[in-house]
Amino acid sequence: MGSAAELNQFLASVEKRAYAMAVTSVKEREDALDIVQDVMLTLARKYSRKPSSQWPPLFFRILNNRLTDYHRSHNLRRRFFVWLNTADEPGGDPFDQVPGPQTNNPDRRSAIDGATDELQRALAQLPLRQQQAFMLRAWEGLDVKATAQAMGCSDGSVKTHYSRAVHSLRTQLEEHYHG
Amino acid sequence: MADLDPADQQWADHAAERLRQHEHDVPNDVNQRLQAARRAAVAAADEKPGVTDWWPRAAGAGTAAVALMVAALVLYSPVDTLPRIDAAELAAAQEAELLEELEFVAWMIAMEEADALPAQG
Repeated sequence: MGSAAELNQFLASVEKRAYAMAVTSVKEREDALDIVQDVMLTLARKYSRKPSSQWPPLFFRILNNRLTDYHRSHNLRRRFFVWLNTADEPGGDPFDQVPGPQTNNPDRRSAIDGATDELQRALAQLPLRQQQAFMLRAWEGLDVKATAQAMGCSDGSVKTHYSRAVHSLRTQLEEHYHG
Repeated sequence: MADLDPADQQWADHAAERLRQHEHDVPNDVNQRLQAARRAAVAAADEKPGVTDWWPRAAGAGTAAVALMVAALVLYSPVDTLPRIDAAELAAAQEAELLEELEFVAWMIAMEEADALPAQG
């Protein structure tokens, strides 16, 4: 069973990454903060008595579920606005006008690595499951089994989503990355 | 089995490393809010289970018990098992009681009169 100090240490180790993943996915700073706060509270209330070794996949599973819920509700809302023809107004679909992950912070804009910015934009455009597979496998560094646990799918599905995500990102960003 | 070929894996590692370097570059206000959220979460974990969790379960169980009792009363109402008494029968019964009382009073008077006769004679 994890102690309060262990929980604090674990959350401190993942909070910024979780926020970066959330803001990359939802493109909105306040929503990303709300999601991360909710994920932390849920983990603490429901799973803090589990062994600390189980926290990472649980934490990212909760995060993935919250991001999926967010996208579902926003897709529904977007369809509703399209149905009302509001997307045909000057300026286009408001969802597409949401600034990229880092544009909320103009003071730091000059310090942003252009390639990383492009990577985050491309990542945000991926289908949600590919996005999640890349975030968990590459960014968070979970193994296939833990990623499958976090995504609630099979190991094979993780490999498929992850492979497609990398191919798609690599194709889009070839000019920025020559790994 | 590896999920990627070596070239893709190398590219993914490189991209992930860039993202990890970038993730610490969060504004101060975001950092403060994340820290506050973490403190709140750790405090929530220290809450004793049962102090805050018992009453929704108790309320649910109580509601279910009340629902069962209402259902039992509706299905097996004791009103249906008792004999029905209409107004006429009730009035007749009351009249019979009154008649019995009148007869009792008449008998008492008769007995008192009978007791008094020998004394007079």
